[in-house]
Amino acid sequence: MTGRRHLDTNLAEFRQLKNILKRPEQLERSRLIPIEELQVREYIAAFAALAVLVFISSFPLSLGIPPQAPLPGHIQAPWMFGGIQWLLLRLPVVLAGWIIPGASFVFLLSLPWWASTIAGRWVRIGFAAFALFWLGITLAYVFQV
Amino acid sequence: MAKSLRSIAFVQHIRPRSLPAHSLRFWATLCMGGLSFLAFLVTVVTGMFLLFHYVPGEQAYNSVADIVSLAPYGSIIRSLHYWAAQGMVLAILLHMARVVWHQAYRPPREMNWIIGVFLFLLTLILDFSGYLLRGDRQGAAAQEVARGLLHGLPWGSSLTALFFGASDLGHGSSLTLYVWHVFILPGTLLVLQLWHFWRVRRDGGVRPL
Amino acid sequence: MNLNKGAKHYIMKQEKLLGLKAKMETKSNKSEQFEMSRRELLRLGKAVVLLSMASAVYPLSHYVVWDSHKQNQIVVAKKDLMLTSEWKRVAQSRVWLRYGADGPEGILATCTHLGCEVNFEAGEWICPCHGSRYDQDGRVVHGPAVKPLRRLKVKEIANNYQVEINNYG
Repeated sequence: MTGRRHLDTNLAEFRQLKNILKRPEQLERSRLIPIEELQVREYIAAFAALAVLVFISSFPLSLGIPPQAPLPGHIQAPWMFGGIQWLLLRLPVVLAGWIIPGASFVFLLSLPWWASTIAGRWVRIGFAAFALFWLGITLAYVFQV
Repeated sequence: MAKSLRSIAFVQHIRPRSLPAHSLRFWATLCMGGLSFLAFLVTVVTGMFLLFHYVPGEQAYNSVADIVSLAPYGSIIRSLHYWAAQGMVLAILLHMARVVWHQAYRPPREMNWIIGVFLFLLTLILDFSGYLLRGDRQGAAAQEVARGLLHGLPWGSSLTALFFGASDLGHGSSLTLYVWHVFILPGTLLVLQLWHFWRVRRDGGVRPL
Repeated sequence: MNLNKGAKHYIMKQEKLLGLKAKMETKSNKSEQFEMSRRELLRLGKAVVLLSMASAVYPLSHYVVWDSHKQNQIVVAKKDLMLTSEWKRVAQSRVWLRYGADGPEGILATCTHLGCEVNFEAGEWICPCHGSRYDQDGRVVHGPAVKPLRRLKVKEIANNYQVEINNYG
């Protein structure tokens, strides 16, 4: 390990020089750990996630209504677009289909600049409210309709 | 570490040689960023195998039914593709929540946050196009809704033709949509992902509070 | 006074940093031993990944080469194909049927040489690819083909003729 040091351009180790200015308790947290530790954890997480995926995939997955079949009275949208569908059922098209999703997208994109003007706590609260709104209408669509 | 194979050294240069201790905590990140990329890889691989037997357009529903019922191991490949796609969206949502909680969008990471939001949007569009490609009635209805939404925009008819194909044949699936879902969108997603990972490294790595 | 305190604090911090550095060295030396087992664990992980990829090759190859157009069985309504003693083709297939001595018979119009589709004309089966010829009952008359045309079993079920084909040519 010492032999590789002088060739190393790793940012984290370079930052160790700044540790002189840190409080002692912070030094313990930023103590450096070799990458193998992370790789081992990633392997374990990947295998666990794959095992869960394969287990879930072993159950049969439905095919949907064939296109030649007669048109049913009501077609349920998948959960991912449940929120937009909930809005489309109640609000005018331009509002539900373009303005609200577009505003949500712009809100997400602009999040870093909100944080520079107001305190970080308010950004978390704003994001939580935003997330709860979309989660709420999605759940409302999935369970009511 | 790089002693095993020289070719591995190229891949391993993507990772940092060492990390600060506190970024390894499981509950810090739940590995959600990495898991979303794993889910992406699973969808790409299973999707590649689905390509061998899926027929876009009018025969889409029948080809999917054949894959599920007749092709050996077809049903698990298709199920994996679907659940990995759902898992990817879930992982991205949790990842986004984690990033906001740790305020990891602050400078110098604003660009990476923007890339991430576009990644999320692309993932949603991929999921939507995949849903249409099933070729069932629900997909046909979803395509009609999306066509109606796009028509409201300026150059609406050109836009719908660009994404869904010239005419709505009532099947949900079409060759145009197939090309977007199989090639253009995943390719763009991959390029943005690589940029996203590079930016993580460039901005100083994952540093939970 | 403050300056001295500040200097003392600074010196204490330096010593702490040195102490931590020393601990890091010993810890990393210890983790050199640990690193070995970590590396072994990673190697195990990579071996598991490679093994699972290798074991997936067999089922996935079966998936890929599965033939979606393969017909294992052909069913044709009796009224759609009135059988005579001359071979008649079942629409959009290589199966030809006729009424023989013991009931309906089937024959597969695939040349036994290299697999081209053969046509029945003037009492003879002719292969357009290399000129093989077979007689009415499928026996080789001429040509590079050696084996006779393959015969198929025909079952009469309800109002249909049902023909079993495996290894569709």
